[in-house]
Amino acid sequence: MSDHTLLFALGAFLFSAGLLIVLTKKNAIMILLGIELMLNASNLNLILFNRQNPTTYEGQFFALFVILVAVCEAAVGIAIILKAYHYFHTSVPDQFSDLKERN
Amino acid sequence: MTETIHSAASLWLALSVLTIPLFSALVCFVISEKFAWLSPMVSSLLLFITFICSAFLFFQVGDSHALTYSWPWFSVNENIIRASLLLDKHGLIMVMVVSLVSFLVHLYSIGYMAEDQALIRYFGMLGFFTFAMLGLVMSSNLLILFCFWELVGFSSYRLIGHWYEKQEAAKASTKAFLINRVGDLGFLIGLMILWSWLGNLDITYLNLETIPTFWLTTAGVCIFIGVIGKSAQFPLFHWLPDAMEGPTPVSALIHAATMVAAGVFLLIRIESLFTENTLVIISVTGTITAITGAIGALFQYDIKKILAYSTISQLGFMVMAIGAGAAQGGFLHLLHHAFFKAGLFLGAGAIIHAMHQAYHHQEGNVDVQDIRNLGDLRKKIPITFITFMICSAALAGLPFTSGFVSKELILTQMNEWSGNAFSWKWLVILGAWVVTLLTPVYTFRMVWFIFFAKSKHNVEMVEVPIVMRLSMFVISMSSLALLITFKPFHILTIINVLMSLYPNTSHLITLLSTLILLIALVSAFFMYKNYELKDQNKFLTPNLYLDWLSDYAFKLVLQFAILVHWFDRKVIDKIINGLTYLQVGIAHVTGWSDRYLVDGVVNGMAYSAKGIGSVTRSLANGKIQSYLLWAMAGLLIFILWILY
Repeated sequence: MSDHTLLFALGAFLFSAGLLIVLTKKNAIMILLGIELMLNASNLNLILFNRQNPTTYEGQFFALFVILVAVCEAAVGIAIILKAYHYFHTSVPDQFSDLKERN
Repeated sequence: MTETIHSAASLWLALSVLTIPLFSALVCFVISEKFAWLSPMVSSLLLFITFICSAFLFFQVGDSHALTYSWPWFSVNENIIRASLLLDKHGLIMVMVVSLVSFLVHLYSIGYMAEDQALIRYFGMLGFFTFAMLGLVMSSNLLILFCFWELVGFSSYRLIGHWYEKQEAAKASTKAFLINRVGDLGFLIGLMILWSWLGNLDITYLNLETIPTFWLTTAGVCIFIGVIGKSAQFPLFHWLPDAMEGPTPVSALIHAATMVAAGVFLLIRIESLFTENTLVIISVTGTITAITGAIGALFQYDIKKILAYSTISQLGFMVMAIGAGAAQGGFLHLLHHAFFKAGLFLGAGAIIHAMHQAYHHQEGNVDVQDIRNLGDLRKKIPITFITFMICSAALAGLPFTSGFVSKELILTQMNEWSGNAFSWKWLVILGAWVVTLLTPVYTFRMVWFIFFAKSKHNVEMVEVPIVMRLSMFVISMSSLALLITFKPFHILTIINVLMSLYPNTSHLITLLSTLILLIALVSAFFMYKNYELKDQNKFLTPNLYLDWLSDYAFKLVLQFAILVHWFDRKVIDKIINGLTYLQVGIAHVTGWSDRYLVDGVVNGMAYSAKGIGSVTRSLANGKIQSYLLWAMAGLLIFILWILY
């Protein structure tokens, strides 16, 4: 079980790193990258939890689906970011300020 | 079924009796100036119809139970005021007397007022006067009675002031109106007291058990003050001699049937309202009035003023009788007085008319109403002489006249009332006897100097027109006792009803009063036989100092008003100004506290809301990552809460 403990720690590290990236990075693309990292951390966790009960492969298959969804999400996300870049001439979400009251 | 038909017919008759005089007044007022000569005929005819209707009404209702009709009029706090008619024995007799006298006065006025310029106004007001009095007699609700009471006062004001171009007439009418106001105020206060205790002013439904004796006495006295004003009783009678400024037929109407009779009639109507103490006040006032009036009549020189004072005296006699428990006698005397006093006034009018015609062509101005200028008229105007003599005999109370009968009845009933033990009641009785002594004396004086004494002026005179003689004749016939009490006529209802008013009188009293009458007449004869009437006696000036007294009272009221004005200006205004300053000061304090305390609280709340708002707003700063951070923190707290 010790090898698994190390892998759980890896998953937690990956998730924390992804969250940190999401919360701290200015650029939307970097935030998307952080989300990918968090998704991978969850994939790792799914597989590891399935390994606790090896008679089925639901975890593994769920991880495959997550990868699939992540690809789609990345494609849609980057398309939105590109569109926003065309409109605002920036890809930093803090500067998307159409709804903010003007002082 | 027959009962309903009977009372429906009576209702229609009563309503027509009430409305025909009003209709007569309306006709007179809408008739054009071109046809003004028609108005005397038309209104006399209408009044004749009224009299016929009232006679029918009397025979239909007869001496059966009183009929009442009432309709809801308006309501105040669930107390419904009902407009109601009351047709009882007293009321019906009075209705008949009023309509008869009024008809005769109308008829007489055709002759008397023939040359007057304002016939329309005169006959219109006569009709209205009759309407008001008939309404007063028939109404059962005291409020409506009060309305008619006021209308009677108003129309007498208009009629006394008929010749308003004369300063005296205008003044006399105003005086009559204002003095009546004083009395009417009392009447109104009495009605208010009754209303506040009973919530009902209908005479037939007065429930007197619920009202304390004190207030009942007060109400009775207040209503009696109204009677004092209207029926010319002691402190308020000086309007009546002045009211002689009106046309003589109007005086006949006022003195006989309409104006002054209203007060005495009211006393009889609401007799059940009077407590012991009220009756004492009533009888004492009546006695004072009766004696003062009789003394006043002894010293007047104007025919009409002699008659006016004799009316005051006779009214006092009736009021005294009612106060002394002889209400029946008082009512009977009211009826008899209505006839003989109307007859006397019509006679006086005829004398004035005839004298006026006689002096028409002569130079100089002779006062034809002054008995010093009259005398020896019995051969010149015989019919006037006869009718005047009959009515005078009734006034003096000679046997076989109506005045004798009612006088006997009053004296008998008062004798029973006083009892055997000596008390203040004996003084009232003494007053009654003094009046029965004085009345023949002044009557004799008047008749002697008009018809028997030697005349200073010798003029040719002609009798008055036939209409005037006719009405004088009818009215003097009504003053004979034979017509009212003669037994063979007892099959008629009128006799039955009137007979029920006459109980047996005592023989002793009859003898005594006849003796007094004889003494009075004989002494008057010897006193006035060779008597020369001199200038006006200064001691007993026309109004017995009452004018001076009312002037004094007026000045007193004026002084009081000035005092009140001063008090108002100096004290009440000062207090009010002080209150104003206080108010302004308080307002300043309130304004300051509003501005700084109340507004401060409100502003503080606004500022704190703003502060909280700005703190809350800083969370929603539009940065996605800060939202995410808070979401994560929330999630973490949630997980920690789940785990532990």
